[in-house]
Amino acid sequence: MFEKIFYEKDIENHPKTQFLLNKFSQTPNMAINRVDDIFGRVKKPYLQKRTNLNLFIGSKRGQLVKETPSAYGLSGEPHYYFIHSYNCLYECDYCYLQGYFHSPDLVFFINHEDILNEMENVVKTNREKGNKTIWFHAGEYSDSLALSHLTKELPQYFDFFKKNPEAKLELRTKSANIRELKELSPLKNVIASFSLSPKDKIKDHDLKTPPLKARIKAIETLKNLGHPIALHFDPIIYGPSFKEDYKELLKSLMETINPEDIEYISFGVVRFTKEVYHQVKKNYPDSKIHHQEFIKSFDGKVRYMKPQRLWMLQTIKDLCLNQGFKEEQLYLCMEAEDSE
Amino acid sequence: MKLIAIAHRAEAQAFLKSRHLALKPEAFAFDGLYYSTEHNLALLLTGEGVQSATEKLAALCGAKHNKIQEIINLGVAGILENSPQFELGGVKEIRTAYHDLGHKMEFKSFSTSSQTSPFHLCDIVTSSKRALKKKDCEELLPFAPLVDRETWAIGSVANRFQIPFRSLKVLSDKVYEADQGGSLEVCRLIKDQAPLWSQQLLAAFDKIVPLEKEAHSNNPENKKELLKDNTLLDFIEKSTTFHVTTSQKRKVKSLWDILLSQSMNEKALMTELKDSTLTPLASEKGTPKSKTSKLIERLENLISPFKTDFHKLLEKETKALNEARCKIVFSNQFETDSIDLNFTIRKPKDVFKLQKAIEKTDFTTIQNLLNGQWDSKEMSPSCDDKA
Repeated sequence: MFEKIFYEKDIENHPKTQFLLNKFSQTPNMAINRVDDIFGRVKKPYLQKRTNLNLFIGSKRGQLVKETPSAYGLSGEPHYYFIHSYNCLYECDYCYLQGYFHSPDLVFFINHEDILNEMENVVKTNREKGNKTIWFHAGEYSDSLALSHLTKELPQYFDFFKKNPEAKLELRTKSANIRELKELSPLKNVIASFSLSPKDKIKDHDLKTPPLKARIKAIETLKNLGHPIALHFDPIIYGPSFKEDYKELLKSLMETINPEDIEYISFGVVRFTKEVYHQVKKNYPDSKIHHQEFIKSFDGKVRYMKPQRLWMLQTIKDLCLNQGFKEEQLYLCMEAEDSE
Repeated sequence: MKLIAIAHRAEAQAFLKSRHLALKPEAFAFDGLYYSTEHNLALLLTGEGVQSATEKLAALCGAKHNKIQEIINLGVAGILENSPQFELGGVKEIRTAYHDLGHKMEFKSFSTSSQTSPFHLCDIVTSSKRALKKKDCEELLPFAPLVDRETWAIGSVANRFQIPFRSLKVLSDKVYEADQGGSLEVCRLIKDQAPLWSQQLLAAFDKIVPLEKEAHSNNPENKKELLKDNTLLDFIEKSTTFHVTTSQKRKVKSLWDILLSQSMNEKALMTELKDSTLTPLASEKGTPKSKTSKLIERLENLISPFKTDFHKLLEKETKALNEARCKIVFSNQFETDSIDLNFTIRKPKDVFKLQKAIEKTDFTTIQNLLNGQWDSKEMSPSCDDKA
């Protein structure tokens, strides 16, 4: 799985470091001072993740919990994200990570205790301000569940959210890896949120991710265990059978769940920064994403023209409403607020 | 022309002596250039280090850049990683080259065009100084298992001139053991072994690089290119119904490729297009060129029905203004839902004409359209006024 493992010297004896070094005992490993000494110091080609993926284990320093861009989550409530990992095993051809870190290598930060302490402070501050609900999101720079059997942090976060019922945690994923979640007692305030696309779009763009069927199966299993579920239709990519594709996706979903089983659904149309779009062209020159007619929009981002992107959002929203979802369950990632 | 770039004459000796390659000295701005007319193959001695390699290769590429199809860098490399994968005398093909500036790593890296190889693919650090000590090894190993003095420079120049490059290295010394023998000893050893390394490089080169005589007949890519046709373009070029200009040809080709990638069934697509468009167009009035434009429109509609529907609706909703010769200017790429009207009043009755056109125009519907508030199937803008 990994070509090499680099770990920071001062966490060599941390149980999570030892777990990973034992788990990958055949993989050459090397002690380093700081992850930043190596990771991102040189431009490592993104697609080398296929043949030469390294793992870095370290401690996250600096600000551990940050306020999200305003497009994140249901509006009106404070939203934060925390970073416990960089990069992802999957290869979604539109993914902004390919233009973000200058290296596709995985980084696991294992100082979850520090992250949780900072989250505790954020909860306190918001409590003092009178905010009733505070959201935390995992998975800004990685998939929240795909490697959770290796990162093993979920029980710590479940403990925290059990003690802080006014705080909510969103675990965003494209994976079907729910084995860690299955072991944990469901909490009303910990929501597994699955990013979904029509099956052909997953095949064309979400490379190396589980197919739609597997993701829906995972949703069904978690729902039956009592875990709250949310959905993300993001990124939405246009095609000649766009509406039919989403109808079919919703139909497949409705065979296993009811609208009331879903906490919320968010929608976002595919968009890129100029840098990421350049990387997509370089890394995936044959991708069908290049058949799309994008424009450079008001903020310099590469998008569909405005009438089209708004029509796409509205069309899917209408399809959801027709399936019995309520208006308040649905929110659109509005572009003026979108800073991704 | 393929160009071999090698740092030292000693590393190149097997190539220069090879009767098969028949490389002869070629006059250039400096010594060290050889050329084989038989194989259309050149060899450049770049000298050691980033600066020398950059200068000499850039000068040659500048002089002959349209003629150089590929650069193949060959040479020796030191082993940084103590692993059975890296044995002395082994041959490795390089995937990505990094550059150690001495005090820090250069951020830029250059990747070769090698996706697959009969040899093990790995990365290399090009060091600004000879890596002869264990300490060098510790600093460089996190970035790559091999070290040399030129690969990054070759990659940099190749990238500047947009020429694909490959790099093969024979492993000449174990840097991680360097302190045991002393640096002078390592250099002497590499020099003594040079004839052997050179032979190995020649054998490796023969394995991966088909020479020109063979290249033309055996390259499957060439055949693929020749065989690659375009059913639709062939059809319309042979047909008397259509006349295709060069830009239309390009457009048809690219649209057809997109459609093919979407449907995967060329035959069915062609049949559908014949029934729905090509045959009806044959009996329609119009010039052959305008019929090609209509065909392009139809292809665009197949790829993006949204765009066609949107423009048709917009045209419908602005019909009264257009008929009154009032020019409507939408914002760039429809990024806002405001519109500018441009109308020239020459006579008092023009005011009345404009008033009538404005009265007939439903601006709410237009703004709904611009805000995506319409149903594509029903082709009618939504009545919900969110503008």
